[in-house]
Amino acid sequence: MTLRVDSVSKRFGAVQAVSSVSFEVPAGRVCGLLGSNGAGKTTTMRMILRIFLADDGVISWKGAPITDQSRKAFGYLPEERGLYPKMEAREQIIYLTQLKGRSYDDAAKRTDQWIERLELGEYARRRVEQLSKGNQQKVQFAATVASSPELCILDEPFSGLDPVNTMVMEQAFRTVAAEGTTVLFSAHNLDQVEALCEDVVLLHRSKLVLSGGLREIKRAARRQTVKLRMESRDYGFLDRLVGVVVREGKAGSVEVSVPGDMKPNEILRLASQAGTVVDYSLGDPSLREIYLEKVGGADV
Amino acid sequence: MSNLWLVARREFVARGKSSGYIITTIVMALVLLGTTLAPTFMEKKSRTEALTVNVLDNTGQVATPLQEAVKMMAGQPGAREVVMNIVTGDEETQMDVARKNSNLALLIVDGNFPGAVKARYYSASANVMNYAGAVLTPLQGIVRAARMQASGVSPTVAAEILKPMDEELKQITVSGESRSQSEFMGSMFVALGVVMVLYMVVLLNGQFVFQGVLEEKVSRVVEVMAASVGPKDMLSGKVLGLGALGLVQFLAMMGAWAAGTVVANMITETPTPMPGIDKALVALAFLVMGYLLSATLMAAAASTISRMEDQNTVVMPVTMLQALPMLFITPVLMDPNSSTAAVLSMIPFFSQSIMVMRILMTDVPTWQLGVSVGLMLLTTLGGVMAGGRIYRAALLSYGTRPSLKQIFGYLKG
Repeated sequence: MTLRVDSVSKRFGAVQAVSSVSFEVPAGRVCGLLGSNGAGKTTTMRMILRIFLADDGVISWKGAPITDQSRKAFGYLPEERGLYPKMEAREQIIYLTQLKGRSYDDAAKRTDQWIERLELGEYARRRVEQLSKGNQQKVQFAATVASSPELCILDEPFSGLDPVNTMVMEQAFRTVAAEGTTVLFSAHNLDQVEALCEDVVLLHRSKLVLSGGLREIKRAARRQTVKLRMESRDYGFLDRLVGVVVREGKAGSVEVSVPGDMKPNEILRLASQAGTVVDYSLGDPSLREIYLEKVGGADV
Repeated sequence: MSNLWLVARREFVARGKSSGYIITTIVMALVLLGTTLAPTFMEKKSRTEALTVNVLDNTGQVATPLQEAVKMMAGQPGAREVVMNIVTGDEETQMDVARKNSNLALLIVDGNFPGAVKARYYSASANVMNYAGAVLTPLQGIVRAARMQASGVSPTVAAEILKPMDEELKQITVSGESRSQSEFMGSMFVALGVVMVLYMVVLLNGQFVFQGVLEEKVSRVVEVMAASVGPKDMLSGKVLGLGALGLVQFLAMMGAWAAGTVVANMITETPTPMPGIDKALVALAFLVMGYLLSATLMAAAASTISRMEDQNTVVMPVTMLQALPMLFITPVLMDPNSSTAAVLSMIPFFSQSIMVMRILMTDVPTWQLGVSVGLMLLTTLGGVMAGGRIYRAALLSYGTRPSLKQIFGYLKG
């Protein structure tokens, strides 16, 4: 049940929103769609959902071009959340689930399950306009997933949430992924993306920069990352090294991105000369580092 | 259930449950019932209550013969009972009495009798004013008879000259039928009532469609909907659901009007001409076409904006287009067969009011009705197609309103 985006382009007047983008999301995988603002993420998602039709290229699901019928198997959470303000939360979820081809009784049963999972019981009979923003987000998420979609497209699902609601939504997200749903989601928080997804697609200025499994992408990166903590917290010796990128880490540590032509142990050697090394570890580059290397520092 | 019907049902239920719709429908039905019954009750009251006229006769020669003449007129068919009081004293005192009593009229007669008589009739009530003829007509007869007598004409000859002629006022139609003045007035009121209801239903439900589309854009739910429902089904479902509500409203109002008419007929014992099923169907066809045209134009207008503050700017042109025929209602009511009425009744946007009015008041030639329905149908189809294209293209646009050039671009597809 692979989602395949093949040489897809979209233009709005003078603006090329998406330019010949191709990638695949294998069945049952969670894929992060990354890119700075205006990179073409939302337009790509809308084309997958047939909200916009692509000017060129083909988007297919399960080996066939997506149609109005096959998109009933998709759930969508748009970046700009939207619900009917005067409709009761439960009725709204049922209605949006029915639009995905479920009968009223089936939709009601699934709705009640998600209301329970997202702890929305006491708000189920209230009008959406009477709910807090966090609870509206939960209702929106429930409406997206209650039809048990095969493919879930989530545009910035965690934006605007407080820490508690973020945890609740992350748990719900993991539940959906654990049930075997294919998930394509966008987010600006790269640490969150790294924690949740198995594959990534990176767009920059309407073009595809990279796509594939996160593990493979990290392995293929020319850089390695050293996490270093000195007792003195003085890392001035790193400034003299060419091609090294240093970022502040946690508890006085630093993350050092080491270029491919330098051995990471050289950092350890120099650190030992400079003072007492409290902590040293070697790892793959983070998604943030890969992103910065590919597209620069915009929106990170 | 298809998505189109799901959307239509949601619109029907969501809007139908709203207090705005329920209150508007009840109030409009009650207003219609009231306006149908109120004139009948007022007429009935005024017909059954005697008209009191205080006569201040400064000539000293009119009051008594007038009292006798009024007595002689009593009991004639359609005549209202008149109680005449001959009063004396100063004019201001009698005027004060008339001002304080709205069921009273004051007749002041002065001048030289019979050569230069002046009669002044005063009342605080418009209804009492309408019955001035009950005393002024016999007064006219008395003065003329006295003048003839003064000129040497014998009373017998004078009576013969002043005898009223037989009058018959009838409306004639193309089919050769003729209707009395009261029947003509009745058909005029029926036409006015139906057209006003039709206008209000089309306008109100078009506004509902506008509000619905704008609400979906402002609340951003439109994108969620667009991921499940095609724009054609979204628009059609909305128009159908709200159209069904409009039909319920129309039937409620027509029911109220029919009930009022039946009661009024029972009270006055005067049959009001009811339109036949053929005319009712033509009116219904114009209602459906008018609503479809209005609803899709309203939907298209709403889809071009994304802020509540902008609504007046885009609603105004459509509303003005709909309100334009109302300017011509009075001339068409006065003469439904005039060439102005005939031409206007064939022009789309006007035809849904003017043609309906004409078919309820007179016999419209078949070719005129055919042209009118045909042009309205074509305009409705064109409007639905154009409105649909604008709606589809502008539905997900936010920010700056599209320019006219962009809107024409949407029309090209």
